[in-house]
Amino acid sequence: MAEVPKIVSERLRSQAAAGEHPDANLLSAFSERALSEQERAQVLDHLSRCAECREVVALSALPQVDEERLVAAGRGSAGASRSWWRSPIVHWSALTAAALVVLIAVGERMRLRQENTASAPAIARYEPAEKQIASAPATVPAPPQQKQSQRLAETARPPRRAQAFNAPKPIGAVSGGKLASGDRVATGSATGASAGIGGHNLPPPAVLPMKPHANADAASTTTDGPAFESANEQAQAKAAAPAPSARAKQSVGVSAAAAAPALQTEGAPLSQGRSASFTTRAFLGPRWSVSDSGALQHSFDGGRSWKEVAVAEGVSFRAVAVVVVSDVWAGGSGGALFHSADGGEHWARVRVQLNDRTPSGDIVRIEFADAQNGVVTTSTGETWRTPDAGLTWRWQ
Amino acid sequence: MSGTAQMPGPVAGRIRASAVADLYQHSHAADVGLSEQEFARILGEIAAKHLPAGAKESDAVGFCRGLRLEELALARACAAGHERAWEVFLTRYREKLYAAARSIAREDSSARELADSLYADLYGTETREGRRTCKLNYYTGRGSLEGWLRATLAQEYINRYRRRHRDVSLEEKTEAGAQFAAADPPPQQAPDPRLVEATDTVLAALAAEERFILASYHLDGRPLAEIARTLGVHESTISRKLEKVARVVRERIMDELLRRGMSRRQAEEALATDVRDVAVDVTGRLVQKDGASAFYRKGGD
Repeated sequence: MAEVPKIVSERLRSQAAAGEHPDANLLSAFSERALSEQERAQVLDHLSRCAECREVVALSALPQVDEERLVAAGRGSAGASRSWWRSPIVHWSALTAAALVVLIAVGERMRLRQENTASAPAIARYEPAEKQIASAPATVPAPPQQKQSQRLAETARPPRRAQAFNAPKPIGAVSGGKLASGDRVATGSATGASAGIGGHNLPPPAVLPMKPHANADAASTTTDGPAFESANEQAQAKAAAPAPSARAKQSVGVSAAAAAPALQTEGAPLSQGRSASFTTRAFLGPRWSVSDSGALQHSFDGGRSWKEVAVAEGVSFRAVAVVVVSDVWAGGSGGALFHSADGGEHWARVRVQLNDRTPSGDIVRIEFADAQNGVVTTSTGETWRTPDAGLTWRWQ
Repeated sequence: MSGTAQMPGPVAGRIRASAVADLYQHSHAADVGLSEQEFARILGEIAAKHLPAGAKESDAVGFCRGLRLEELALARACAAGHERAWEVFLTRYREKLYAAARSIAREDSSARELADSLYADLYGTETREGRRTCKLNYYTGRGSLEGWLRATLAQEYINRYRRRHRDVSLEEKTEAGAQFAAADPPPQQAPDPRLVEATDTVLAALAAEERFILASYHLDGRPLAEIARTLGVHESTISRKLEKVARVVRERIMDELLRRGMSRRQAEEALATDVRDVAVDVTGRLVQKDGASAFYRKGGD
C-alpha cells in the first residue's frame, strides 16, 4: 500500500472535529447505512476528524470484523496485501467449480435413484446365498448395470439402513408357509453380489418385485424391516403386485421407510427427492415424527422403532420441527403449539396469539430458521411468525 | 386504540391521525403496552429533533416510516416500565448484549461488568428531578436497537478506559514504572510552515470519505477489510481508493509547495523529510561540548 508523507499523518492527527459528537443513534445508523445521504456525509466528515468516534464505530461493529482480523493476522499480512487467491478470477473460478460439482452430484443422485428404483428388488440379493429361499424363476431381468448401481446405491445408503432393510427373517419363518400380511415381498436367487457376500458362485440374478406398501406411514412404523416371502407365495405376490413401473416407484418408498418420519416432520408429503436427502441425516440425532393417530413419537435407532411421547392430552399433533437436538417444537389441532428445550423431556404450551387473535385451524407446518425465528402455518393457510422463540407472534 | 392521536411538535403535529394510527399498528406498540398517545408523543419528539421546522407532512411520514418502529416501541415501553416489554427485551437482547460486550472488552469479567453497567443504565437506577432516568429513552429508532446497544456499549467502554487512565493511583503508576519516565524531550523543531499550510489545504479539500479512509488506515491502523465493512464497500475498493488518495495527496501538496515559492527539489525534500526526523536536533547532538574530549591524547594525562 502506498505510504503518505509523514506530514500528512501528523496533520490528520492534529485535525479537530468541529461540533458535537454524533450520538449512538447516528453512529449505529451510519454503520447500518440507515442515514440519508446528507446525514451520512455529515457523520462521515466528523468521523474523518474524530478518532474517538471512529473507535466507537469500529468497536461496535459486528463480530465478523474480529474474524476477518483474525484471518488477516493468521495470514501475517494484516489485510494490507492482497494474496493471489483473493483475486476475483479465483473467486469466480471457485464458484463455477462449486456449481459444477453440485450439478454433477445432483445429476448423479437422480440417475442413481432411477437405477435404484429399477433394481430395488435386487436388494434382496444381499442375503447370503446359503440363506436364500428356494430359487424362483426370473420375472424381472436384472439390468446390465445392476451390479454397479447396487454398489453405488449401497454407498449412498447408510449402512444401518441397508442392514435393517435387508435383514431377512429366519428361514423357518418364511419357508414353511404363509407370511403375515404385513410382510414385504422379495424373493430371488443369488446374484453375483450375493455370491460375493456368501462366498458362492450362483446362477445369474433373478429377482421378484417387492410388494408395494400401503402408504409411507406403514413403512415408517415397520420396526423389523422388510421380510422375504417364500417362493410359493410368488404367484400371489405377482398377482397383487402392480405394474413394473409402479412397483419400482413404490419400492423407493420402502427404501425410504426410515426417512418417512423426517418427511412427516416437515409436514410435507413423501417424495423421492426428500427421501434421498434424508439418508444423510439418518444418524444426526433422535428422529421425531407424528403418527397417523396424531401422536408425537421419536426414534433413537434411526427410525427402526418409534416410541410415543406424551405431551398433552386431547391434542392431535400434525407437525413437529427440531431446531437443534434439544430444541423441539410440535403443533397440531386447535392451533396447539408446544415447545421442549430439553429434547422432549419436558414440554411447555406456547400461546400463539396477537392481541385477541389466535390461529384459526390446526398447525400443520413448523419451521424455525434458528432458535428464535420461526414460522408456523395452519390448515387454513394462516402464517404466524415469531422473532423471539414464541414469546411474541405476528399474524399474516 | 383510539386512532385519534396526533404527534405533538412543530413538524409532526401536522401528520394526520390516520397516519399515526397506521404507524402505531405497524410498530406493534400495543403488544408491549404502549398506548397510541404515548407512541405519537415519542414520534413527535424524534421528528422534531431530526426534521427541519418547515418539513412537509409527507417528509415527516416518510421519515417516521424509515424508523425502526417496532424496536423503538419496545425500547420506549421498557423505559416506561412495562413488564411485558422487559420480558421481550431480555429475551431478544440479553445474549446479544453480553456477546457484544465480550466482543468489545475481549475479556469475560470486564465484558460482564460492562454489560451489567449498561443494564443498570438501561433499567434506570439513577433518578433525576424525582424521575427515573432510563437510557433506553435516548434510542430514536434511526438504526437497529441492537446496533444502538453496541454503540452505547462501545462509548461506555471508551469512557471507562479514559476514567481508569485518568484515575490511575500513584501506586499503580509506580508499578507501571512511571517513576522512571524519561525526561521531557527537547523542544521540537517545527516543520516548514509552508509545508504545514500546503498539507492542511490539501487535506481540507479532500472528500470526507477520502479523509476517513486515510485516517482509518494510516492513523488508526485498521485493516482494509474493516474499513470496507464500515463503508459498506468491497475491500478492493478501499485498496484502490487508498492508493489513489495517497498519490493525489502527494501531487497536490507538491503543487501547493511550488505555488508557495519552493523549487521542485525543495518541495521533494520537504515531503521526503520525516517530521520526526526534523524534530531531532542533529547538529546539537553531534557537536561535542567544551571540555569533553572524545579522544585522549597519547602520552598525555
